[in-house]
Amino acid sequence: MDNDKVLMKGNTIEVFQNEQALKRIGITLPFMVELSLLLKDYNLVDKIYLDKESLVQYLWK
Amino acid sequence: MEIKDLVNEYGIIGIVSNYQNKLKDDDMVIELNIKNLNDTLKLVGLDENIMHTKVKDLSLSEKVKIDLATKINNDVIIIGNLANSLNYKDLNNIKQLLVNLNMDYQKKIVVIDSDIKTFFNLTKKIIIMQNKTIIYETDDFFDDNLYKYVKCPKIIEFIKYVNKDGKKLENNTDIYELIKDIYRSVT
Repeated sequence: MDNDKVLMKGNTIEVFQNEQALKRIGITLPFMVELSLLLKDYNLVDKIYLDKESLVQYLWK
Repeated sequence: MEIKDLVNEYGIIGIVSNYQNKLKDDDMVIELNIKNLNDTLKLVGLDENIMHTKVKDLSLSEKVKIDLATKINNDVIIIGNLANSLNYKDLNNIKQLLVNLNMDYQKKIVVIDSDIKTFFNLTKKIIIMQNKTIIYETDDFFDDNLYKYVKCPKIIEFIKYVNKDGKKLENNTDIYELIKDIYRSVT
């Protein structure tokens, strides 16, 4: 929500995909989400990981 | 070493402790001791329309910015509650302003916050205080002993987790540097 208006809705992952819109209204993304999104930009992962164990296992498999 | 010696040596120091601003609730912004009011409000990211607002009617974020505005001409600026009061964008702007005040105007800065993340890319010296007493000080965010007193930030927790299996990610507090380091490590 931003200024009492619903800006976006959906499941957790769907909402977090809108990184730029969330940052524009000043929302800090959880660390694991931000890390996953940046790793996605580098083509190192293809989805958002919410826990470090799975991400580390995938990256250094 | 005392706080005043540490701030003289480091320029910007971070203290993990509680902070209470000294603003009086019934004062209007225009009545506070803020020099060059219009310019200073702009500098801290506030609109001049806020001048006729009472302190008690300000949001948490506005209070932090007004608190900073009242101190911006001091040689030593003591400011707190940044992490809990400011959103992501405001926090980065205020941190950049504090760095500029230190670099360009040689202001000494003491940042007091309960959240250690506030100090990333801002200060090299971290002090833990309880009941006005220094109980721990370090200039290393990766110092395990520091996290006996405060919650470990996620980025540090992540790097420590990866490195415990013999990998060698560098001790970054900047997520963009961490990404480059991961890229080098896995490709």
